[in-house]
Amino acid sequence: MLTTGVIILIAGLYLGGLFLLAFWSERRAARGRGGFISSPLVYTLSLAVYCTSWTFYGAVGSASRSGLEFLTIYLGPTLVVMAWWFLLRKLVRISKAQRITSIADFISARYGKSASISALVTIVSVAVVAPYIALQLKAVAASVDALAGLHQAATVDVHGRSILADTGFWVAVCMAVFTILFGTRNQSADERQPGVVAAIAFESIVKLLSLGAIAVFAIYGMNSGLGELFDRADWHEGVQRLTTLQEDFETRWLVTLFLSAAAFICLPRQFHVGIVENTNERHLATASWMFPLYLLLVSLFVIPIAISGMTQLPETVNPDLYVLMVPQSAGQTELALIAFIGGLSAATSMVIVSSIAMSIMISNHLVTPLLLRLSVFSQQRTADFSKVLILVRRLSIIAILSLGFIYYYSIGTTSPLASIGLISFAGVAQFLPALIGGVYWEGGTKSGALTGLIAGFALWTYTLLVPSFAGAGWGFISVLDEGPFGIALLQPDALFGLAGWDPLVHGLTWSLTANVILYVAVSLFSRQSPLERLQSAVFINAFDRSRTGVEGAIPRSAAPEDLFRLARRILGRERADQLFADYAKSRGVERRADLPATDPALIVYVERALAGSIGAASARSLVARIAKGETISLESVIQILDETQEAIRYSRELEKKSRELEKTARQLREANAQLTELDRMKDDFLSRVSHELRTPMTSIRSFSEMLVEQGAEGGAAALEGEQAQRFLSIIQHESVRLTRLLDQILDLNRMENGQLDWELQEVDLADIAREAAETMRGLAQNGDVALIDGLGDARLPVLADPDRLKQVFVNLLSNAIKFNDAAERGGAAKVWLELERRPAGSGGAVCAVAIRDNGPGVPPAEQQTLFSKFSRGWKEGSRRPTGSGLGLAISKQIMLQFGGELLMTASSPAGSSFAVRLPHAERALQAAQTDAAPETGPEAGPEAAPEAAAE
Amino acid sequence: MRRRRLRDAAAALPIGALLIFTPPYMRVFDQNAELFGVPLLHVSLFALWFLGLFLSALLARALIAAEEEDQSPVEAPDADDRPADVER
Repeated sequence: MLTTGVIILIAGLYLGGLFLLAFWSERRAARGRGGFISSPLVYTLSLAVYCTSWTFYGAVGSASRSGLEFLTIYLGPTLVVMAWWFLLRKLVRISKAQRITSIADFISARYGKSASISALVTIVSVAVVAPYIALQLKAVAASVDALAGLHQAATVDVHGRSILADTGFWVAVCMAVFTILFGTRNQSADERQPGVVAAIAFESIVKLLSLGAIAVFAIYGMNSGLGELFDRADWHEGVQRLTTLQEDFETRWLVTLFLSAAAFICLPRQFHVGIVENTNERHLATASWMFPLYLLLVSLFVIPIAISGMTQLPETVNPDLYVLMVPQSAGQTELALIAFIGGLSAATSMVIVSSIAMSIMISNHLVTPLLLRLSVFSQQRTADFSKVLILVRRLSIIAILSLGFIYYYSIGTTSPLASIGLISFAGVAQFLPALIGGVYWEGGTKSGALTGLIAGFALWTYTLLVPSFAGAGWGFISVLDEGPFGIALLQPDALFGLAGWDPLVHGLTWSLTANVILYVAVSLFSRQSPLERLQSAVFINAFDRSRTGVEGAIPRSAAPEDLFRLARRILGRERADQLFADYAKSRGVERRADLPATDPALIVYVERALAGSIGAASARSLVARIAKGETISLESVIQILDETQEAIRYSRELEKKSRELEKTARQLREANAQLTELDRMKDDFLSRVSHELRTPMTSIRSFSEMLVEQGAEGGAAALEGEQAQRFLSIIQHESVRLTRLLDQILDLNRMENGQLDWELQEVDLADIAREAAETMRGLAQNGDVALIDGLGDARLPVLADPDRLKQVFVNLLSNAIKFNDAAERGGAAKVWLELERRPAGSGGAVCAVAIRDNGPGVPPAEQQTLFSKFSRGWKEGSRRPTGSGLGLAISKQIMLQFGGELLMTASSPAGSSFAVRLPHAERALQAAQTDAAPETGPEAGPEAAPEAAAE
Repeated sequence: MRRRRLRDAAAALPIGALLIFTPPYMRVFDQNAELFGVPLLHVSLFALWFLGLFLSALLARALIAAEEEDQSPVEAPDADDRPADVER
């Protein structure tokens, strides 16, 4: 058996380890390596602070006492996180936008940043959380005693022990030190405290593993497996309760399910870890399944421990301590210690987070408003308030933990763990109407929320807290038995004669009913102040991005310098400088001094930043003192809201219009570019044509002039007939060239306009190509170019005008020969005439011949315009042998007229390749017959491609 | 359209889970039967719980993906909108 001293030593070592972990995490984060702190896993584990020692010990106790009902405590939060898309996400979105610091701040901000609401919620929270903290201390103290074998029957009896000998006291002190050291580093609530977060996440893992270990031991250590465990149900009434549903479990089931769901949102610590400290909405998505998994595992582990405890431990053992006593009774001291560490983790994590959340609430909503009223702090030129704020936070931590300890110390042995927990849940559930109504019902007013909260809290105190005090022996016995002043109708546990109900159901029904009814009724009969109206619009339309800036539209004015001084006073010099530097940057201004004198957006910005430190209500009252401006009227707020709506619609329309305009403009730009290019080419063409025409004209003119002059001088020095003959032949040659050029231009023009109508007849493409090759053979020999005919005896029937088609081949061949410089580069110039490999997808319906050369290729820059009539031949500086330069353009036009195509299939410095493609004659005929009819698919036509073409 | 369906599913899942885990329906599983030596009530409760969180995981992924899609900048109009290139 362990002694108390050893147990406390182990607990001390564990807490010491926690300090080290927190310290190490802070160091890591300070060096910028705290990334894991903001992972969704750590977020989910921090949500698991929901599972306190009440879960760890109490759930097993509850399962043993009242059966499956304990499941509701875990099903409630499961349902809430599953519905994250609607509730949690909205709460997170609002809290980020409004820099919310706590649940009190949230509710107060919604109802016009009311200081009274935040103060009321804070007081209720203190009243609820103090017993809850007491519960944790009690659990730790009880577990130490149980481990040491002091008490197995009663939970813990602290009376007659000095405070210093009390484990609960030392745990409270340790937690106070821890929280002060690691939990008050940052002044604003939404900045994470890496040390604390790491510790909480770690403790969540420890408690899960520890509970799991005990559960496994209960199944396989105490029993031979699941079968044996559940067989015990047959003879044990308690196990029966746990494996079937009770006769009338419905009401309590529903009530506890509702309570746990409500508590998961409304408990200050849950709101803190789940909403305020959420760094990323995406984390909710992960938590929506990971957190239910955590809860499922916890519930799964509880059952075997409870069954084993009920059936295998003496009846005198307190069910709340089964987790410890199951291994302990089997002599497994190490396992019992693991269980103890798990319970300690559960307790300490709850105490840490609760005291942080409560210290923020107490300092922001109770102490700060009072301090700011003192003349010392209200004056403009006073010392840094941020240091005072941190001090207040630290004192608040000590205060809330002291309160918890006092409660624990005086309540003693009574009340099993679960009932205190549920009473706390019922207390925070009173926030629910104001919270849910606040984010979904625009009509909720401050008066309504305030009345509802007060009534609900009062009835909660009267129907739930007073009986529990009476049970603890703190008086009220007469009130409980006979009703106040002997009025039996007002008995706390049977209000207005509703006797015989479960006390929890009774208390919750009365308090929550009164709360909801008054909230709704008073809201209906009261008016919202302008600020409330504004805030309710912002809260309810939290996902409407354009609504978030509404507050900035209120015309207010304050000197930036005043705002800066205020910020410096509250946030400290460093953060205020940073704040204004950021703002100036976002406005594109260099220095603070350059900010515009009156800027409503700046006022809102500063107010938000202050709210992140001291809460919305205090921030508002501070800013209101220096922001001169009109008092906001309801009309102006409604107008602003309407205007925003209007502006949104208007801006959407504008956006659409501008997108259309942009599209049109782009099309116009493109069209314009094309036109300009065409225009340029036209000019180019004209100047080229003129030049081309001029050269023969000049020679015709000069030679004819010479002839005329000679003739005028008479026969004396008459030209010799031979020379005159030569001149005339030049003149004739030049005029032929001139005519040909003009013919070509006219031809091209007519072809482009579709004015030429040729008689198409069936010819053989290969034959025509061969003929052309024969024609060009002379030229090829002159140029030392080998012309290789690779057509073989292929037959390619097509529809075409043979002369024109020949012209195309002649043109291509002459180009290939003329431009071939392979010989100059030290090789043998070659031009191939061959069948083109069947173009993909043509299905044999296309006849194609390729002309390939090993010349220099077409420069990439000219490939685009190769077939236009303004092409290479027309370009200045190009090597330009004879020819009009219209050749390729005309060829292309001819091919198009025949329904075929002419294209360059490849070009590289190693040579280029052109393809002449025409539809197969039969296909072409078919197409001509079904001229207007829809296109016939390739499979409709006969597979009439010649065998040769397929090669 | 897909987004709306997802939204509806996000509402349907917790509501369905709520119905299953509350009285009249809970009674359905309260049979005097065992599965692998474990009461049917426990098996079915935990199985449904697990199914619920499994669906929740799937849904969360889809919701996040849909939201990301939503937030991505408006895509440039399709290439079809451009005037066809003039070849000749």
